[in-house]
Amino acid sequence: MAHKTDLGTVQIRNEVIGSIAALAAQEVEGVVGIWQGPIPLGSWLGSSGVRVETQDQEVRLWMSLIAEYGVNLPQVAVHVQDRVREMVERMTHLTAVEVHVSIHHVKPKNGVKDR
Amino acid sequence: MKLFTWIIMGCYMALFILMGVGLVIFSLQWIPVDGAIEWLRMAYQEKQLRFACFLTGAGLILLNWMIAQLTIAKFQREKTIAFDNPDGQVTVSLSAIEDFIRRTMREMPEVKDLRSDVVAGKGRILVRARVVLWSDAHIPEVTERIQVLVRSRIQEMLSGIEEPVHVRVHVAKIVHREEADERGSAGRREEKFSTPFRGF
Repeated sequence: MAHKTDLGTVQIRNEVIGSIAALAAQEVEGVVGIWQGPIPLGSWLGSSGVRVETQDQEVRLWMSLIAEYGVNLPQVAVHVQDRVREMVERMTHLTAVEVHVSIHHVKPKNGVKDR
Repeated sequence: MKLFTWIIMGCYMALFILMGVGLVIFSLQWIPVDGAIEWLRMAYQEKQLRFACFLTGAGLILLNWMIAQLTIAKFQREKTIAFDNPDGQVTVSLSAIEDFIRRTMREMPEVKDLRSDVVAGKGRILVRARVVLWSDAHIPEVTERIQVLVRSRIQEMLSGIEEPVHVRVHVAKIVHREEADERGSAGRREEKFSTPFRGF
């Protein structure tokens, strides 16, 4: 995603938008982490858990998450959508038109022993 | 389908076609054995050919890994509950619900183990739970409690999704607490009295 200024072109790569979205999602209460695929070390194969598509000044995001055990999943998903949209728009001045959230697993909160 | 997926699928198909053709040629004796052995000997001795074999092998392992990733991800995508928000779609993987049920059951001391299978469809969520109970459990009471707990927890977790939850419980096994304890303590005893400095 690039836009021109008086001095030149500013380019924001999709990976950067993905990172912003991932960090914003992890700030939300009830999110344990980003799900990086069914196979261990899936991130090595490029599965980051966030897919970004940009067109003109619009961004579409697909996010795969791990939620905390015991939380209300639809509510967490809505909070994630709000937070991600807010942060992406604030940091990039792009419009996040769609934030699709997919919850793949539930886990106890970080630090709590998973029996 | 994305270009990346097409490339991986293409490589996989090409590999299997090559293997198939190789086996057919072998079975029809179209390649002389001496020539094949000579070629293998050459490949074994020449450094560059061995390096090429190493790269091909590593590439095949990577390809297999990617295929597994794509296939499992596809299965998991199919097994979801979805609903739409103004900001976009939200999907909850059924395996997440299975995880959740397994963790919920740890609250019930009468249940030794539970494995569940969640199916979403026809306007309802069906949970098939296969449980292993301790022998001191009162089965009708415990199974009813399992149904109530699973249903209420799923409804609580997915409030906003108005689909009725049906819970089918199948008691697969009853385990004696004493037996399990004995087995556990026997294992611990073996560990405790294991011979020190073995192998000397």
